[in-house]
Amino acid sequence: MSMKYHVKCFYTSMWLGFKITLNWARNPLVYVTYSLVLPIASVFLIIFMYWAVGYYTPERIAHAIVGQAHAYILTDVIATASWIVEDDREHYKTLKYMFITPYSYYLIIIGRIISHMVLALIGVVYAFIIFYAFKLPMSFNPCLYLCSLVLGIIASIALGMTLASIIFVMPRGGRVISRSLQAIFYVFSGAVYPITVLPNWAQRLSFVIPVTYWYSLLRRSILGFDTDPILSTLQEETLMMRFLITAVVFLILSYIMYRIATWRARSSGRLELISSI
Amino acid sequence: MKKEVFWRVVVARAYPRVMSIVRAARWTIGGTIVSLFYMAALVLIYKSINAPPEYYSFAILGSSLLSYWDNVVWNMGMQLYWDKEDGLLELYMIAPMNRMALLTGMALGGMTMTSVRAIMIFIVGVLLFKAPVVVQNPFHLTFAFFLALVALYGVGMAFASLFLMWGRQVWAVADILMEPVYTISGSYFPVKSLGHSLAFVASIIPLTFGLDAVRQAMFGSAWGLLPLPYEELFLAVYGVFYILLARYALRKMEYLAKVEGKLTLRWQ
Repeated sequence: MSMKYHVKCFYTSMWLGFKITLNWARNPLVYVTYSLVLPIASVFLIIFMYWAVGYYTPERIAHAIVGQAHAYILTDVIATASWIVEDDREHYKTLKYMFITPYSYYLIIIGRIISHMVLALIGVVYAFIIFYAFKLPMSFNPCLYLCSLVLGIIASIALGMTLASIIFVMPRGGRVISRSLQAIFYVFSGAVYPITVLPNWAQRLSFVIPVTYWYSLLRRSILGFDTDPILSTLQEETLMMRFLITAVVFLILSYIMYRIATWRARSSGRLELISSI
Repeated sequence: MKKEVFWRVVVARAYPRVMSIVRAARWTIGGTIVSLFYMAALVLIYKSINAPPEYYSFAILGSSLLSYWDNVVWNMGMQLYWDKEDGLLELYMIAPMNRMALLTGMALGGMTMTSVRAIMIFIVGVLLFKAPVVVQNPFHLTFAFFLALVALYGVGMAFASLFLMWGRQVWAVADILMEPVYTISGSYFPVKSLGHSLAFVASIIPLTFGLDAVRQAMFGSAWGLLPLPYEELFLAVYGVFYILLARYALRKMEYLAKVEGKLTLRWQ
């Protein structure tokens, strides 16, 4: 199939994603408000926790806000990826029809993830407003931020696709695995606290998770420095290289897993499975 | 006879939820592990700023009790919507039973199912982070916990009726009832630290007084928003109010859903 058809498939799936995500709200403003409330609440949860204790440094709160606002993107992508497969198969019962069209379902999932994620990015904008409102330390590097954000989104999609593949072959346990991985990434990547508070074995694990490097790069691009004592010792280039390598590895792995999972789902007749979950 | 049927329906609806603890062990264990990870993250946030160890206990207690809120929103509020999507709702409607019995069964089964998760989170959290556990007033702890559960599941029963009328909007409503509610109800910190005005606004949700009352009964009144007996009184009033609201809303929404032809409407 020519490139033109792939592009058309991608745009159509993005359009479909926007429609599914937005059309329950009759007024787009309702959706914008809704999509702002969730990330704002998650950022304020941490701010309130700090307030309750009564002592904290601006650096520590800045670290948590950067991590929490961007962790929301990762969580959103992972949850959306696994949800799309389940929704198409069990709710709308359209999965088998998707597979008999000449288009790639892999691209369809990515298109729908991106449409959802674009809306999730609204919450990130709000994080910047909080930075100004609380007069938190900020030395914004737009170039580094954009590079980190784009790479982070690619890595998130790769992770999401890996999990979507699992849903094809593990209809009942897939969602638990998806939620567990979101939680693992959140805890071990040091999104909202320095990885020094983790025990030694967990610190070693956090170096294998690509998003650890992502959060460090984001902190450097927004704050101008990293608040994590361990990660701050690494050079920016080293971090970027490690992140790039892990993101590419996950991207390749996600495609291989997708091919294997869809082949197994077809051979075991799971494309139209109803698991009643 | 009517009473007997009522309780048979309660038992019949509670049964699959209670049995799912064992038969859907993957969900029970998986869900608990996910909650344990998030609880660990919250404790580590406190650890990163060297907060007093009581705050570790607040995060653990909050995570444990929020399991009930999750259950109220997703397995009570959303249940009739899911039943509608699966085609079960019309069967419930034609069955000769009291619909309140159905909701009561869902609530009792949900409480039992969630208690397993809540207890596991609490025990593992306390052992893992060596968080201090004090029970200053065992009677009030039991009483406040019981009242909080009645009020919370009353809310769940009311939501179940209200969600009956909606389509995919219920997902957004359920989402809004999660993180934003965790934030303003003082789930992981004493709610009075939000300031009295914001804390009182938050106390419209029974979860706020429920958590605060249990926290006070365990760690002392210094952490509480209102004196414990007042919070218990509010919880009792909430419990009665939300159950009556559920009863009214169920009749009203069932009627409206029939008139507007939404009882069998799917994929909206």
